[in-house]
Parts: sequence; structure tokens; C-alpha cells
Amino acid sequence: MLASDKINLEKMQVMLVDDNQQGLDIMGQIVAGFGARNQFKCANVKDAKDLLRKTAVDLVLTDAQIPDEDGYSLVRWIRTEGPEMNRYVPILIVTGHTRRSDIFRGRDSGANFVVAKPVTPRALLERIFWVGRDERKFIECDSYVGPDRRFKREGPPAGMEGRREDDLHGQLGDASEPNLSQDEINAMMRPAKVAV
Amino acid sequence: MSKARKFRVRSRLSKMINDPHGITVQKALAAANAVLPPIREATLAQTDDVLAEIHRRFGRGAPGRTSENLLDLYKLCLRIIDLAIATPEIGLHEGAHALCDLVDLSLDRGRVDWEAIDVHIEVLRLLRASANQSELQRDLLLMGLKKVAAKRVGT
Repeated sequence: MLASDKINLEKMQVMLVDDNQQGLDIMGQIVAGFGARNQFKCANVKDAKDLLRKTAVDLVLTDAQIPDEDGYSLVRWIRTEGPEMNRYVPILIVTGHTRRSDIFRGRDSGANFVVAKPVTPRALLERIFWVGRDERKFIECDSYVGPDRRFKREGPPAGMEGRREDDLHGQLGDASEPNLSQDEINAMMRPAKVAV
Repeated sequence: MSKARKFRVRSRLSKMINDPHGITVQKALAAANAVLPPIREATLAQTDDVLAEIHRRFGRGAPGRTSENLLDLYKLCLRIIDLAIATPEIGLHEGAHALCDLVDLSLDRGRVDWEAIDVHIEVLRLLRASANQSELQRDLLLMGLKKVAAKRVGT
């Protein structure tokens, strides 16, 4: 993200979910500073779900630790049961600390990213850029709906066939032609005059 | 094994990034950063209240601390992390995060290392007291805390 990069969030509809009113207000002011003034603030997951059933949003920022029903549960609901208009919305989970028992819930919730508190304006804007530019495909299967959780392209474990049709086959990479000679490689690198 | 469907989704947000009619990142950050200084003193005062409660209920010598709900200590630490948004340079969120780790481990293992908790609470107090001191002092405090945590909890 460069200082000269531009962003236009005037029309963005952002949902903020946090049971702490002060946290909600501060986050709202920061996001308003970015230009995003169309905000929906919810103090609990029930209100968030009610709103999402009626209104299309462009970004969800949710706290992880919310009493009764938490942020991970909200994200999972959005991805699996929520209305189609919001099913694939970019979602950032914001958390102060993740308990060991919640680490996998965070990973498997279907959020685009988990951001650690305290969230500085720079960190938040970087994440918004990142999520906006995220090119990972969405995965939909019985146990998970969300962006591909693999950040690296390493293929399936050795000796196993991948489940995804574009998983690399173990044989990929074996040479099918003789290698180029050094002279051939040198010829590709040497600058040459071109007749125009 | 279930079949996985894989597909691309182009979000409306992606079109808003790099819109030539938008504001620069520099301007956006300046506007957002301007939110924090006015709330600094208020968040520090609230942090002091939370620290006082931690000390009162869970500090060394607090009567009945062993019958307090440890999850409440965890939630008080989360509150400190929330409030650190305007004062990240003090490092209180790091100290609180370390105490969250310790409490989480204690809850998992079913036994509480009160000496380690005392050290962590003391570091929080020192970090707050050193709010206007150097970054080096803060780093030294936090480094010492990590060593204590590693030794006591066996991680």
C-alpha cells in the first residue's frame, strides 16, 4: 500500500460488530476517516444477522469475543446460511487474544483475515486493501465455506491425490524435453537489434 | 471425502480500491489517525480503572483471589488490549496479551500458577508507570516477562 494509492469508500456499506460501545465508536470514527460513512453498527450477533438479512454490505468488521454468540459464529453463519447477497462479503475478524480452543474456529470460520488488536489505522487500511485485492478463490464444501485457507501453493501431501481439480499432480515438473543448452540460454538473454 | 467447489468472487470492495476518484492513502490515514489523540487521556484513565480492578481481585495478597473466576481476569486483560488503541507505544496490550496466554493455559491445564500471574500483573503496573519512559525500558520489561512466562509455564 503506497501513500499515493487511492481508495474510494464513499459508497461502501460497512458493518461493524462489537459488544463494546466505545470500541464500536472508535472503529467507526477510524473507518469514517477512510471515507466510509455508510456504517451499520451492531452490538450483538443477533442484530447483525437481522441486518444482513435485509441489507447488502461491502465489508464486515467483527470482534471475535462477543457474549452469547461470538464473531466466529457470525462469520460461519454468513458463509453457510446467510442471504446470497452477503454470502461472499469480505470479512475481517478483529481479536485481542485468541484462546487455544478458538484458533481452529478462527481459521475455519470463513473470514478473509484475522486482525490483532489494537488495530492501528494503518494496519486496518492495509488489511482493507489486502482483502480488496485478495485473489484467493472461494472454497465451498461440506465442512468449510470461505476463501481458500492455503496461502501457499504447495499441492497435496506426498503420496496423496488432491481433492481440488487444479491441485498439482506429483508428476508435474518432470522434464518432457531435453534441457536447453547454455548457448541457447545465453542467446535468449543477449540483446539483439531488431529490424523495424 | 466431500467434493469441494472452487470459484472466484469479485467483491464490490475490490472496485473501490485504486479508484482514481478516491482519496490518497496518505489523506485517509491522516484523517483516521486524527481520531486517536483526543481519546488518549480518557482511555488511559479507563485503563487505570481496569488495572486497579485486576489488582484488587487478582493481585498478590488479594483476599479470596483463589475463588475468583479466572475468566474474569481474561476479560479484564481483553479490555486493556481494547483500550490500548490510542496508546500502543506503552506496550500494555503486549503485557495484557501475555497474561491472556497465561490465563488461557491455566484454564486448559486446570491449575493456576499464581506466582507467574503476580509477575505479569506487576509488569502491567510497571508498563503503565513507565508510560512516558523510553522504548528501551518498555522492551526490557516485555523481554523479561517473556522469559518468566517461558520458564514458569514450560513453553
